[in-house]
Amino acid sequence: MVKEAIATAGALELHGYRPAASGVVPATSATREPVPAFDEVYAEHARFVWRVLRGMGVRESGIDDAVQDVFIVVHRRLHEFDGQHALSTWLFAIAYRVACDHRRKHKRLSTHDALEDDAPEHVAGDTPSPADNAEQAQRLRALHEALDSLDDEKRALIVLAELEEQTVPQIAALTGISVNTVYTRLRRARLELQALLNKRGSR
Amino acid sequence: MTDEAQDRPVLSTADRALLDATVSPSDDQLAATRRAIGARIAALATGAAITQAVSSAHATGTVATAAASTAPAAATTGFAALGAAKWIGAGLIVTAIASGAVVATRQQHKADPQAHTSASAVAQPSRATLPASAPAPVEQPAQVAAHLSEPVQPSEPAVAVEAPKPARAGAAKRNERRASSTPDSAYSNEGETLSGELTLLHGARQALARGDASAALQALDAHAARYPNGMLRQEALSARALALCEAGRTAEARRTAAQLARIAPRSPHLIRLADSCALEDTADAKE
Repeated sequence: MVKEAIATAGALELHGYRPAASGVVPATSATREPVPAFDEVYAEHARFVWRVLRGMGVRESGIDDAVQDVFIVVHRRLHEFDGQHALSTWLFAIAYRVACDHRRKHKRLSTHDALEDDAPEHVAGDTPSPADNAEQAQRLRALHEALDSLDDEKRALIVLAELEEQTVPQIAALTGISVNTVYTRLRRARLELQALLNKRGSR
Repeated sequence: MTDEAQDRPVLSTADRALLDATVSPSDDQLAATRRAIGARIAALATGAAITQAVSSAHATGTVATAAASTAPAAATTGFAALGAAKWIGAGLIVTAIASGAVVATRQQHKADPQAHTSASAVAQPSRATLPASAPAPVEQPAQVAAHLSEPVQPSEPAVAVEAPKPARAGAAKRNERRASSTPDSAYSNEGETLSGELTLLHGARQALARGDASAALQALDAHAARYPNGMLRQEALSARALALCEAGRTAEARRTAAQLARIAPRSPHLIRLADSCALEDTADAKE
């Protein structure tokens, strides 16, 4: 509960956030903390960034570069830091853009080709039998295909809600979308994903 | 309505486990990527310093030398150093306080097309929406600078501060709780602060480029006095260390570099100081 309340506060705060287009800069230099150490940011958030990128569809073969891209931006802009927003919000925004770029770039690739490098060996589990492996690989492919069919935003919401297991208020804080809108859109995304999986399952 | 149902996850626990396994990096992977990032950052820093040296027709020996630390022939001229920049990497936006650095960023992107992705990928945690179909939320100045294909806007360095200001990692939670209504005056102050800082630092750099260490130090003193917690403090410290070297005040230069290292142990500015009196033989100096 408390956690939720905090997250909600974050979302509301984001709502009050003024986009840079209006030419405003939050906080005065007097309240600024020293620039955080890049390593600290990486250590704390690299895994999250990695997972978001992968969840958003960046393939195994491109993930290293994509994560690098995100953190190069982070490094470049870290000095602009003021503490108005959660670091994860900022990181998510960057990762989201990188992932969307990636998705667009690779749209032409057939899902099949694109998935080639997601070898089933990557699937965790207690040393599954070959049969399990094959089944899992097939299911994984189905999941990827369904996720690939979602648009960027829906996919992001699914990734955050289902893979990262974020609460709706947390997602709202991360994305800057209001809680109610997240509910609505997430519901839509889930319906679509369910339909995609059903369709595939019945094939 | 099916609302109730659709507020529950679609993916089964097994599905999640499957996906989870594919999206999670190993510690080794994270470490390897971190190393790669380090290399790119170092390249950025070096590249920026180099082009900066080029842009100020008569580069200070120290800056150029530091910049070319990876190149064998230590930057006798800026152009020699530029050769090194080609393979070294992309530009560092921090250094955008000098107009030369913007050039650096752009040039460097030729050598590092990947950085383009990152540049165009910067997004605002803008409140509106995930920009699903509407691309390019707010193009940030920093990105603009990094965009190889786009012309450089003269106002870039100043606008660079308009970027979103993420919370400190550790302070994230705290900040989430914090109310965000900063009065408008605070916003404009910030802009003024930055342009003030830029002016002083630019002056210092120019003085340094002329070899006028004392003028550079004057400008930097003014900067330190006026903006003790300035946004460009790292820049200022780095420039101060170089100026002190230029003035032959090695001990002070080293103290300044040490201060910078304390504030930002990973600062790319430290790389620029590597070949200056401030950092070379640091090991000897310490012991």
